[in-house]
Amino acid sequence: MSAQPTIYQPTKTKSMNFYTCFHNAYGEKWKRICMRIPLNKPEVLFRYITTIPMRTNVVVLMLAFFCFLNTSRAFGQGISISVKKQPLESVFKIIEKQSGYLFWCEKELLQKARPVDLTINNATIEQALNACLKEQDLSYAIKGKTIVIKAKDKASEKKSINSKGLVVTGQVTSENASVLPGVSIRQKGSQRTTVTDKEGKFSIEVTDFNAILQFSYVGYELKEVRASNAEAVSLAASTSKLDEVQVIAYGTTTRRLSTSSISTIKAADIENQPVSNPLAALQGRVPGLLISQTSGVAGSAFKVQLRGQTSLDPSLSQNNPLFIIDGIPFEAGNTAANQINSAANNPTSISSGGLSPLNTLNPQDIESIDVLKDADATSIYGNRGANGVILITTKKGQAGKTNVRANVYSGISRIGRSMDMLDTKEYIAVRKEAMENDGIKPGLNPAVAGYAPDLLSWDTTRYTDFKKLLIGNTGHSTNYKISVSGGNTGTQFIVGAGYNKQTSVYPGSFADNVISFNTGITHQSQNKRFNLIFSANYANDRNTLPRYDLTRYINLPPNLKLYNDDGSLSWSENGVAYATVNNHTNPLSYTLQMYDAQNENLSGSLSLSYQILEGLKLKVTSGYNRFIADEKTNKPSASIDPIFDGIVLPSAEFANQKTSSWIVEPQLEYTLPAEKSGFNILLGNTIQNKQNVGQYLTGFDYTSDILLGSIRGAGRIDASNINTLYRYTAFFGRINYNFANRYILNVSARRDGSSRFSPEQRWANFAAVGIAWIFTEENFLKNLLPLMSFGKLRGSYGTTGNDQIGDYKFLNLWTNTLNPYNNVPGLYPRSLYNPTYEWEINNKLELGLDMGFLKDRLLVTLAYYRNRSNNQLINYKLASQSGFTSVIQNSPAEVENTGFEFTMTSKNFERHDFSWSTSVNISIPRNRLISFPNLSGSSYASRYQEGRSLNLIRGYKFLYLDQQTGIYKFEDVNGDGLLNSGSDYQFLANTDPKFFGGLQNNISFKNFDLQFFFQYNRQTGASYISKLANTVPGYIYNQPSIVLERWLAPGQQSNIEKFTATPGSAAALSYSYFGNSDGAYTDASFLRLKNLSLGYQFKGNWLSKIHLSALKVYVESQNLLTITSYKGPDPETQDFYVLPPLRTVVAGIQLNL
Amino acid sequence: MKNKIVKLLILTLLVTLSSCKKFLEIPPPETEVELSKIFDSDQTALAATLGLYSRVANDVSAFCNGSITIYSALSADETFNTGVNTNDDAFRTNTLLSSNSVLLSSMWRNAYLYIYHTNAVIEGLEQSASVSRTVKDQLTGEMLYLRALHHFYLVNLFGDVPLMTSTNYLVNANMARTQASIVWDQITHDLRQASTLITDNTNLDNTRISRAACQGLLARVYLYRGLWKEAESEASKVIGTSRFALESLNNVFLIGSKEVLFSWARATGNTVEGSKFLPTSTTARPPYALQPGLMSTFENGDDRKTSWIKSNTVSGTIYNYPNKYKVRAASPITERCAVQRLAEIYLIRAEARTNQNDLSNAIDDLDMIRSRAGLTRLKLSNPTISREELLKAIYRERQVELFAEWGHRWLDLKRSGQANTILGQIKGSNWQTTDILYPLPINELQTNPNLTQNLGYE
Repeated sequence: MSAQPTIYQPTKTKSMNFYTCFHNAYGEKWKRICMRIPLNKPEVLFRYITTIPMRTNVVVLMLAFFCFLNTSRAFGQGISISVKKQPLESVFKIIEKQSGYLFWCEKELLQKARPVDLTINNATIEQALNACLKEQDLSYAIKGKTIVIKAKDKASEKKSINSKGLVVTGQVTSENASVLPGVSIRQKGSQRTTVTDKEGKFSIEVTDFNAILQFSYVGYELKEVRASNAEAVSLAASTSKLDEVQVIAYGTTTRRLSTSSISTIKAADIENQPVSNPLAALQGRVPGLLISQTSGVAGSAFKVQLRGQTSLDPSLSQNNPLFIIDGIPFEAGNTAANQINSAANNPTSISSGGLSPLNTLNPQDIESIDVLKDADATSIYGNRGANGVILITTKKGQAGKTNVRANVYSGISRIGRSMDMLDTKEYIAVRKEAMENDGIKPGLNPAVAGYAPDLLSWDTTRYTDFKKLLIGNTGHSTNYKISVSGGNTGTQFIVGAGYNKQTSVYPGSFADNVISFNTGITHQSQNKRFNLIFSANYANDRNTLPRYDLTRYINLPPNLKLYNDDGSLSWSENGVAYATVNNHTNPLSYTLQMYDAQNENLSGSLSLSYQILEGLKLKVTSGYNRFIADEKTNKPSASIDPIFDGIVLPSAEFANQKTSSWIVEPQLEYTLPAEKSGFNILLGNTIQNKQNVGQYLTGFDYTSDILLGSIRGAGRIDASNINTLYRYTAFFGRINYNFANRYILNVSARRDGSSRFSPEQRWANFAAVGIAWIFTEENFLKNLLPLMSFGKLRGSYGTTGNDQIGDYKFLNLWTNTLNPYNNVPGLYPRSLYNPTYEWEINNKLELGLDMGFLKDRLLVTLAYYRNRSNNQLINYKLASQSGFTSVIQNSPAEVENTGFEFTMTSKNFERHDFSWSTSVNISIPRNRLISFPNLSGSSYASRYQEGRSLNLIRGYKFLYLDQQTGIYKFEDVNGDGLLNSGSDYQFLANTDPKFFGGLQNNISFKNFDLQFFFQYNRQTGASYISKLANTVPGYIYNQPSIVLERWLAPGQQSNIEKFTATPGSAAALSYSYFGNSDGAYTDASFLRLKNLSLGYQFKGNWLSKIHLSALKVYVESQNLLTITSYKGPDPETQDFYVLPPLRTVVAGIQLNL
Repeated sequence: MKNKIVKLLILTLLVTLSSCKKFLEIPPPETEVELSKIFDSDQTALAATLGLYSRVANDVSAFCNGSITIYSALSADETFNTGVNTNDDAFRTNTLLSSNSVLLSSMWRNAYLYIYHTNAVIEGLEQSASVSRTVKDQLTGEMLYLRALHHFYLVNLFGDVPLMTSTNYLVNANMARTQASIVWDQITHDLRQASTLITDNTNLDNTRISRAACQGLLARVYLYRGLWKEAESEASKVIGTSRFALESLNNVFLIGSKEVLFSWARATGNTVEGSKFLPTSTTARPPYALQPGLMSTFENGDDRKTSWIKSNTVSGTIYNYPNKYKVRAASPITERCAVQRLAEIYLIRAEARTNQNDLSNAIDDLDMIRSRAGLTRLKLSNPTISREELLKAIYRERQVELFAEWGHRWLDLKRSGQANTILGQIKGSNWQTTDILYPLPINELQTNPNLTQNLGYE
């Protein structure tokens, strides 16, 4: 960039000497403070300025800030000078005018100075000063807005021999010539050490001039230089992963210096996954973070749990982490966006699943995702950090050539692992065998056992493969993404647009379309004091789906007639309506009940910061986030079972919900840069306001399908609306103290107030402390551990809170009834109320060990955590005789999550055209209910047991399948010969993952680039048989082919009972016991090739001839392969009635202009 | 731009320094009403009361709106389900499990949900200083009736049940079962109080609880408790009111029927009974058909057999179904679910009088019902009938008059002690003596450790 300073207009300043201008340059109020500054002693002056924040209050600082803003008004551009043989004094004047800085210099020195020849263009103040003082015996120091000019200390510049020995002096800079203060220097093999001062200068005693000096500095590569050549040393920036930026609450850090437990996933690992939801891209990659897909439906929700379940009550809190995008809370979070249920919801358990709001965030726009886990990292988020915090940072522009990047891929999806079903012939045989087993004959009297319309009334030669028909189609994925970024050293920008479309595997035209736009602007003023980061994102996610997940219906009898001769949907055959046979239905009717959702996300954030004084920054972050979910669905007459003729008429539902939130967070940050220690203080305030407004309209009794789009067309309307307000405010502070990059202390505290509590319980305090010891910086260990390039022990302890309980719960509220009575509106109590509940506080402890070996080529992290949650806010279950089934209250129970996490990253090979790196992570979590006073007397007695996991399996203990009778046997605890849930249920096992994690490999060979990622999870889960308790093999339901392995004759071993067609028969009863036994659980562990991507990067001059700077073609695949012994469809969703995750393969091209 | 920044920063500063405490004081939600505001005025107190009517009337699986009728008829010897349905089967074959979902959601839970509402309104009115005395009395009376109605069916179906007379969940949630006699006492007490509090405002149609409705239910309660004199007295009060009269059979359940003491006014359709009992077409099987035993109980020439019963023939089988409510479609609304009607009051008085040996007046009451059905009066055919025979005749009359209505048959079989003999014959080996009570839902036993299960279901 060589932009001419065309905007620059020199301000008219009166001619004044260097002493006076300093005094007059500021406003009246500032002057009073400045007047007391001892100008003749620069060292004192510096200390004085840095202590100001301690003495003055916020108001004064704010005012000071405005003064500075005014004075720096015209100085947005760089310094440009072109002079020949000019006195130094006049060059200083030019710099003064252009930069707004003021010089302070003894007149005597100026008089002695040599004339200056100088041509610089758009330079920074340091560059300008370095250039014009190059030939002078002068040095400078910048103190705030003042440049102090001093004579060079000539004595110290020379190598000299004093009484103690040889002394070497010099200066250390980075590659781009900025000085590096605080660099450690040591003579190799000795105890002689020193550090550089503020100007990067050092002086060290050495034994001889051939001694080797080692220069080490955080974020830079270690450098060894012969003492005689150490006059000017430049250090190269580190390429170690330890020095990559990690985003933390209100700031950044590096893996090296962090005291917290943070995992960072970078764009490179997210970009090559053909997914539309960032959560999908995170699966298995972060230790401690368990993400599971709830359904294979495009746009559907993910279950996210960081370090285990703490909530006794998943209905109130799903333990969702806090999502923060570019510093602003993403208010829709990970709770389902929809009010109307659709195929994205679990068809048998409607409350689970749904549409994921995060699907509106294009994974390709993400620069990094940082997962904050321990108290040290999350306590500063106060009441919102209990379940961890996921910080998403979007891409920003880079200075330099304008970069246009386009990425297009297209591919196909099909269902992954699923179960094969019986064909009609097999089905009929199963049915007949079942009746034979029961000793009954098929008949047509529904009141007599053996009722079999499927055998007698329905055509037994007809065959529909319902799995193929309903979920066996091919979905198509298409993705377009274009982004343009660029800028100069002061201002960078990025703008982009994306489009993603995924069609479904259902019959009919259903698709999820996401259009997204992103912008980002970063700016830094010429004097580097003013910083601005702006980002704005908009996305529109339109998802059309059938009303219900059609997977629910793959077990319909395979001879069910779907169409009448006239092509209309069939609902009965030979007078037997499907609805009267196990409530069967024609599943194609749900493809006519179109569900259409439009989710819109708009978010914008602006962060302004200004450096008031050296080290002191005022920052204001503000943001707005709006999430709109607009849904509709309808039930046209063709989709209504005629059995409901006259009772159920066409209907339509319309729902919308708008969540809008604004947040302002003023912060004051003070950093003391010092030779040996770094000191950083952050103070801040959060003010947040969130409003949720929504409507739900149901139109009943339409007389015609053509009116279904209009609510006015309805014969009758049910309407409801919500309007809730949530306010939250907090004060927070953090002190970080870094001593010699060796000992680091981090203390944070927050005082929170939330409108979700009654005025008496409104405020709470949270705090945490984190410490780290980088032991490899200790000299006594450096030689002991030669292979270890980095070693850090860290620990943290602190508290976080949770107010995710919904709004207004402390008020006794009554709501309007759905219908009026005699035309008078009615009211009813919405819930029990409890005005006394208080904050829930979680205690978190963490110990970690981070190590680097072989110059950080191998990085290992080990962590142990122990989170304890008590006084939990839960929907305490009550016997419904109290009028309601629950009340919000603090639970006396204490829940503990402990675990080990292990991460290893290794650069296995690094050659010119071959490199291979591997990273592995393992999490071994353990969940335990430590105590629950009076558990046996509470409503949780049958659900939890002290000392065991919260995810307990309780039921009959399955013994074996009786080889003589072909019937399951269970343990009869009290030996009364009967099985009943009261006395024979036992606590058996838990469904917690034993361990989980991922394995990533990146291999590049010449132009090829191969990445593959395995996700694994060792767990126990519900097998398909658990779903057969009510659809017993032999009943009028189709079955997975695996049931053919049933017991047939005495003496035979089998996992599956003999068939039965009679409800109430011994075999049928035992199926229902089985569904409530541990026999229904099986090993659901899996190893999944989650992601595979192969790319080819074109190289050669021909690229530039066609104006391309990079061109890559690739194939990518998601969920390509699953290795599991699980007895069921998909080991992740574990639900026979839910669409399994899709297997997607795409091919694409990416080019950069 | 920097000016704007300055302004923004000043604004920020102001907001920061302003009282954060105040910031958190948010108004209650606009879409809901705080309890304290509800009992500030007659109008909102009325809304809270009518809220319960609306909930019960429009809840298609409400305990006191359909569920008792449908499921007790299966448990007794009145109907059978024609489709495959596990819940229906369990009621029909008297093989209920405590995990049955109907028991939990349509019966137990639903009943207590509404009892809570009655208690909340009663307490709110009690504490209110702003609601006028007349309104307070009227509304309290209505809530007492509904509390009694729900407890009445709970105690009949389940035996000892927790008696709820307050909203204090800390006490209520873990309450053990209350002795049935105490529940009965409370029901009686509630109804007596209700009948004094409610002024019989004749402007109200029978969709609100009147004094007569309270007396009618009280008559039934006294009858069930064997307090014949009181039963007769309350029944006479109702019969003595000129507002009520027996209608012709086809008009009994229509809007405007003079026979109905109290009925639910559904806003969104005709009756639950109509939608559950009537078949979709003349060729379809009705969901529930009448048992042959009931069909043969009707005497020859009983008009009720033609007016209140219809049949469809499907695949050569004849299915008789209740046709008291004749409209299945949602609109137009012409029928309302009758909670209690005058015919029952006559039968109550007949029974009460018989038990007091006032046979001739009892015969007169019984003949009111018989003659409406087109049958010969007992007074003419058998005026010298014995007390035992007359009681039998009254029970048989109840069976054919009140079939498929509010579980009358199921409760009559139980209170007369005939359930074991009669149902034992019909239901065969499935029948156990403990089947006369339903099991408490397992869910409730698990959430309230103080609850105990009924015999035969542990």
